[in-house]
Amino acid sequence: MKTKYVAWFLTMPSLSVIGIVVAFPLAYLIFVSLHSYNFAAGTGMNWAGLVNYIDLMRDARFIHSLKVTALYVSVSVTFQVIVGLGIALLLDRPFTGGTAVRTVFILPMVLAPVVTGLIFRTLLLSPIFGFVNYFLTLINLEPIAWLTDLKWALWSVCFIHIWQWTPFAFLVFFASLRGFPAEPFEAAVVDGANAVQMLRHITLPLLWPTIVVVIIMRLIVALRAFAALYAATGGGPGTVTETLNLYAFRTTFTYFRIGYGAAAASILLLITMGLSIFFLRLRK
Amino acid sequence: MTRRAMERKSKRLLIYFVIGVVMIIPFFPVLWTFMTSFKSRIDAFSIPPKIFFNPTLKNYLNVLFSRDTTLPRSILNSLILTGGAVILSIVVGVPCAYALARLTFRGKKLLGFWYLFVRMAPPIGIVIPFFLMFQKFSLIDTHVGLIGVYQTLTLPLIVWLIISFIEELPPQIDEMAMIDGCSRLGVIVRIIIPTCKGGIVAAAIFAFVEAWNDFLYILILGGVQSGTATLAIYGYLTTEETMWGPLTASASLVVVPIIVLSVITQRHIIRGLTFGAVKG
Repeated sequence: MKTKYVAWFLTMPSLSVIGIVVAFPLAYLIFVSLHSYNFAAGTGMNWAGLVNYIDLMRDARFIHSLKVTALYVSVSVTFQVIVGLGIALLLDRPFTGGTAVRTVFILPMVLAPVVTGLIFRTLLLSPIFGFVNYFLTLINLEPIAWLTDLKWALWSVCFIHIWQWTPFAFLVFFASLRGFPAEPFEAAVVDGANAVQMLRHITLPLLWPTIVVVIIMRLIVALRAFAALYAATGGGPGTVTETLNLYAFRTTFTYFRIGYGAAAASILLLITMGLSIFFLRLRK
Repeated sequence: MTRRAMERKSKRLLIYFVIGVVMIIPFFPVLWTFMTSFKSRIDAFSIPPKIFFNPTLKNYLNVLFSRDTTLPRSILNSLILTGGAVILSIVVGVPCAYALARLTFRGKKLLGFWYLFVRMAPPIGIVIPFFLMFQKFSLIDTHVGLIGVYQTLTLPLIVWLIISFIEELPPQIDEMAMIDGCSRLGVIVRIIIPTCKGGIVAAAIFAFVEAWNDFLYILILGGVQSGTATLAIYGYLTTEETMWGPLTASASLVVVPIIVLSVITQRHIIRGLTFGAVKG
């Protein structure tokens, strides 16, 4: 009995904060998504039921943004995990300077994503003054308009995301590898196993739970990605890099179709909620 | 030198070579930004890009002290909003983390889930209802309103990280203190907080970085009064031209304290990154 009151007493302050800043707004978001509400038309909020959701399913631009999101998320997460794992395995041996390596790898992650987007847009990937194109001309390749070319823009924004977040995968894998017990590896050496066998039968199975955690967390962060995309391309050219986030943003804050944008955002939240439940299952 | 020793030596050299190559990719864009911030306009736009140049502090003086600059005020806003948000989150988050780590009560699982979900929900879903509510209650462009919104960034991170630190302490120390006549609150204040000090500081720093780097919330809910540094940096990208000097100088100013803080908390970074799911 007593624990119950203590628990209430201890959780109430933060519960009320979360209630005010999350539960209520999310309920309100869903409420708004069930209305036709257009700032530009100035007609106020009118009950519309599921009309917004039904319209979304028929909206080619929304479907397109779903595809862009799927591509953006899958490409960037796949690369982050594979590259991060590769580097971690490569560096998983005694060498001096581990702290320096860690420090350098922290750099991209602590940059504000909007700054990352701006740096890539202006300093690295810009068509004329960008460093990457300068590098291309050095090896006799044609310069590319990375962020404004229809063919390249989506890959470029994926690359920006991968650049910023591969260190996350690397650092987690690296720490995990260093924490492994030595015995299974020693036993395998005694049994005459080669490096590939050890990787397949010992390292990867031991690392698997960590890999799953990293994949889920990267999925969630990729689904949240907004600022770097907004700063680098703003969803353009046209709608080539318009992910669900940017679609909901533009619908709501550029075209002021509030109810419709809220419906798109609600669908995004639903996807994330599924992933969060999955993550929580893993953690326990 | 024996053949074996030579082989070992070349292998070691190879490793350092690989490390060097691998480190260039994350390091170079950051380094290039710093370098550009010390370049004059002409040097910044030169082709081929200049590696060696006459460094100048003009960009920094410009963003910090010129008459119409908004950066100092924006940095002050960043400090107020982020600092305020972190302090509030610590005050309400520590007791909650304790309850979630130590007590059993109904709704505990659900509460834990909510904190996680808040952290993982795309901010666009949160900013739309806030935009409408803030308009109604005239909270747009106010510090109070934004500190509230920033709780969605700071509070879940702080609660989950502190849970993972508290779970590492043996529950017996709580029980012993309570036998000695301590209340639960007394346990938190006298035992948990002093023992988890390092962890709490690390959690606060992670939360600080998270809120400091926010862009979407301030873009929609901020304004002239409350605009933060990230918004000011974005402002240097105008439709006519990109102001490379001010952009890179302000970006450097804003990111350096964050880098310093992150390096301080290196020890806990894996835990911070994975929400306590992986303990590094």
